[in-house]
Amino acid sequence: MLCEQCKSRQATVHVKQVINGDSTEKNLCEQCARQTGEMDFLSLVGDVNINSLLASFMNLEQAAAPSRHKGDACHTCGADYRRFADSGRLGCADCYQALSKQLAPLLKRIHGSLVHSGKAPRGRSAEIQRKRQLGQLKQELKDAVGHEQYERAVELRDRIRRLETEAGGQ
Amino acid sequence: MSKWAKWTESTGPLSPNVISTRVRLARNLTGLPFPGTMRPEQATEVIGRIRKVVEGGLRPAGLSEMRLARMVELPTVDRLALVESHLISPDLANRREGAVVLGEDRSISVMLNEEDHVRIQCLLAGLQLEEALRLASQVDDWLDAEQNFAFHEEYGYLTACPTNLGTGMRASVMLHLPALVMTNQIGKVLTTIGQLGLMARGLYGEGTQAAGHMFQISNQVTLGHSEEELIRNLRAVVEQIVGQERLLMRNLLAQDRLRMEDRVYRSLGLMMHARVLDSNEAMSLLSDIRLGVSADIIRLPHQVLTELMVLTKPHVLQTECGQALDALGRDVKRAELLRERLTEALNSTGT
Repeated sequence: MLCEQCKSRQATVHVKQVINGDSTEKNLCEQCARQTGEMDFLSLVGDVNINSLLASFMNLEQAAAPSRHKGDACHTCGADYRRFADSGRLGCADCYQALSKQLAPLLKRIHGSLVHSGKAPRGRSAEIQRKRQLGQLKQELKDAVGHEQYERAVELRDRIRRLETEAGGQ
Repeated sequence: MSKWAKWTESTGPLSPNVISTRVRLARNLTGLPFPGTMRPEQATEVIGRIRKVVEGGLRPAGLSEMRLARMVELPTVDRLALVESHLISPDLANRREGAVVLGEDRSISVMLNEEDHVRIQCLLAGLQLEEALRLASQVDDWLDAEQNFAFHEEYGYLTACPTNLGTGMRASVMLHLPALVMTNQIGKVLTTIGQLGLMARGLYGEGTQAAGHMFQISNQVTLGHSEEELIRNLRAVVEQIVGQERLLMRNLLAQDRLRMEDRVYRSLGLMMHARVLDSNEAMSLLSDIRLGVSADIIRLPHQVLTELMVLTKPHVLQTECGQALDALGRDVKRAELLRERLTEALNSTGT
C-alpha cells in the first residue's frame, strides 16, 4: 500500500482515529507521518536515548509511588524525586540516602540488586570486607540451623563472635 | 609515531578481531554536588583538587607522567581530535568547565566535570580487560588516597546517574565482525547479548548498519557484582563471539575464497591508488583490509589499520598535518596518507 499523502513511498504507519464515534483511517509513510505531526511517538522511536528512556521509567515509578514520598528532598542539595525524574541525574552524593525509598525499585530494575559487592576505597575496605564476611557467615549459620547441622552451626557462631569482637576492639 | 593513543599503536590478544579494550571508572569527590548541579566555582575546585594530586608529585610506579588541560584552553580542533581518538567524550568537549588529564602514553585519560566529577579511563589494544582494570584502579587508588571519593557501604561508589552506581565501571570492547555481518547473523548475536547483562551497539554508523563492521560491547549492570565478575562475564561473551566470527569466516572462505579475495584486493587497490577519499569510504576500505588480514589473504602489521582508522578522522588528520583543511583538502590528504602508510606496511612484510 502506498502512502496517501506522497503517493510514492510504502505506507508503514496506519492510524485509526475515533472521535465522537466517527472513525477515520490514514495510511502514511514514516516521513509523512512525522511531518503531519500525527505521530508524536515516532520522535521517540527515531531517537531512542537512554536518558529519555530512563526518565520515562522514573516517571512511571513516580506515578506508582505513594504520594507521601513527593515531599522528600535531599537536605544537602535540595533535589527531590521530581527533579531527578526530569533530568535522570541526582544532585549530589547525599541524594541516594535522601531518596532511597523511591530509588530502590528503580535500582532493582536496572541492576537486579541493591547491594554493592565490588571494590571499596582502600582506607575503608578492611572494615567493609569484615561486614560483608559477617553477613555471609550469618546467612550460613541460618542455613546450617535450618538443615540441623548443629556442629557446623557452633563453629560458625564462634567465627561470627570472633569477627564481632575484632570489630568492637577497633 | 602516532602521538594519538597507545591503543592504536600496538596489537593485543584476539586482534585483529578485537580492536581495543576500555575500562572506565566513574567517581565523585565528597562534599561537592555532582557536575549537573554545581556552580562554576565548584567546578574549578574539582579541577584544583585533582590538579594538586596529578601535578603534586608522588605518582605510583608504573604510571606514566600526566598532564591536565582545561577544555577552554584547548583549540576546538584539538578537542575534537581527542574525541575522535576516543580519549574524551563528545559531551566533555562541549563543557566549558571540563578538563582532561592525559597520561604521557595516552593509555590513561581522566575526564573531569563530565557527568561525574572524575571519570578514569584506560584504553588498550586488543582484549586486555584485566590489565585495563588494573591500571584504571591504580589511578583510582592514587586519587582517592588524597581526595576521597564518595562511597556508600551498601550502594558502593555514588554516581550522578544510577545506571553507573556501585562499581562505577563500564568495561567495553571494540570488535570487528565482518563475517557475522555478511552472513546476517549479527542481529541474533546482538539480541542475545542484551539478555546477558551486556550492551551492544554499532560504531561509526546508525542502527545495525555499523560502518566498518565495528561493534562495541559493554557491561550494563554496575551494582551487585564485583568488577572482576563483570569483566569475566564480558570476556567470556567476547571470546565466544570472536570464536563464532572466526568459524564463519573459515566457512565463507571455504565456500567462495575467490570472491573474498576479490573484495579484499579491490579495496586494497582503491586505497593504494585513490586520490580523494572521504572518511566513510576510508573506514569501509580499512574494514575490508582488516578482513583480509583476519582471513590471512594479505599480510601486514595490522596495528597500522587501527592507527589509520584514527589518523584519517577529520580533526586528527588536520592536527597531524598541522593545518586547517576544507572537506576536499581533507579527502585528498587522507588518500595521500593512506597510500603512504599502507605502502610502507606492505613493504615491511615483503608482500
